[in-house]
Amino acid sequence: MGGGSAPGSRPATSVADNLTAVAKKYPVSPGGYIGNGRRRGKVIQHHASDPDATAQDLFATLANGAQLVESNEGGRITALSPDKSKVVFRPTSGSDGSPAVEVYNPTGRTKLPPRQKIHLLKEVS
Amino acid sequence: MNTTTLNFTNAELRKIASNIGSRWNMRGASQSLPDGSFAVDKVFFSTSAATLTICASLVDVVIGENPDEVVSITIHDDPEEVRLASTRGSIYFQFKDEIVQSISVVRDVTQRYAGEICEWTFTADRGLIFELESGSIAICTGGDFTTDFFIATARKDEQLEVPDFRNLWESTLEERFETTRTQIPVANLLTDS
Repeated sequence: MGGGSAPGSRPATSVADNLTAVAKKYPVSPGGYIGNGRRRGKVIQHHASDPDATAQDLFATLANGAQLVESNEGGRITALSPDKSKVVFRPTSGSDGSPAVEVYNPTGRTKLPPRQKIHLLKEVS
Repeated sequence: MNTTTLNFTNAELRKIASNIGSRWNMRGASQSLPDGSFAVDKVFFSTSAATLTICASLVDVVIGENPDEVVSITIHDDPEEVRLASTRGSIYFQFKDEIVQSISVVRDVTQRYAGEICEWTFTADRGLIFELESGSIAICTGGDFTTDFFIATARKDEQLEVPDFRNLWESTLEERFETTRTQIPVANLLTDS
C-alpha cells in the first residue's frame, strides 16, 4: 500500500486527480461518492469479497501522489495531497469494525464532495 | 435548539496561559511530514515554562438528533510524545528563545439551518496561535472530522495563514451550514473557578 506516482504519469496534486483511476475500478456517483452500496449522508457502503484488500486498494488508488503519515495508534494512515485534500485509511472503523476509507476535499473545486466515508463490507454471496 | 460544545477546559486554558511571557523553545510531532507542516494525532510545544502536547481524538457526540463522530482537542503532559518526536528528529526550533507575547484559541462555531430555523449549534476549539517576537505559529486541526493538525508559521511581515477547513461542512438543498471563527486571547477565556 502507499502513495507515489504511476510511472510516466503526472503526479497528482489533489485526491480529485485520482478520481478517474478510481472510477475504472469502483462505482462513482455523479456527485463523486464512491461505492456500490447504500449511502446515508456522508457514509457510503461498498461491498466486496475481500473488504480488507479492497480498502487498501481503494486507499492506494486515491492516495496516488500524496504524502503518507502513519498514526502511532490503530494502523491509521493519512495521505495528504499538495492541495490539502486527504485520504484516511482506517483498518477498523469505530462504528461497525469494518475497514473504512475517508476522503476529504476542502478545495470545493472538483467533482468530489467535501467529505465522504466509505465502509468496506463483506459481499453477501 | 441543540447546542454541543467541545472547548478547552479551564484547567487546560491555565496550562496554555502559563506559557505567556516565557521563552519559546521548540515544537514537534512524532508522526508528521518532514517539513513539520502536518502531523497526526499530536503536536507538542515547549517553552521555558512548560512542555505541553495538543492531542486530537475522535469523540461520539449527538449533534442535533443524530450521533456523529467529531474531533476533540485536549492538552496533556506527554513526555513519551516528546521523546518519540525527538528520537525521530521531528522537532523544529523556529523562533527559539523568543518571548511568547500572546496565545489565542481558535474557536469555530457551526450552525445547521433547515430553512430559516437553526436546528443545532456546534462549538469547538480547533487550535492555538502563538504570537512571538518575530513571528507567529498556528497549530490547528484539519477540520472537525480528522485527528490531524496543520502547522503554519509566518514572520511578522507576513500574513499568517491559519489552517481553516470549515468548508468541509457542505450545504445542500435540504440543509445549510453556517460557520464562524474567532481567535480569542486565552487570557480572555480564563475564569476564576
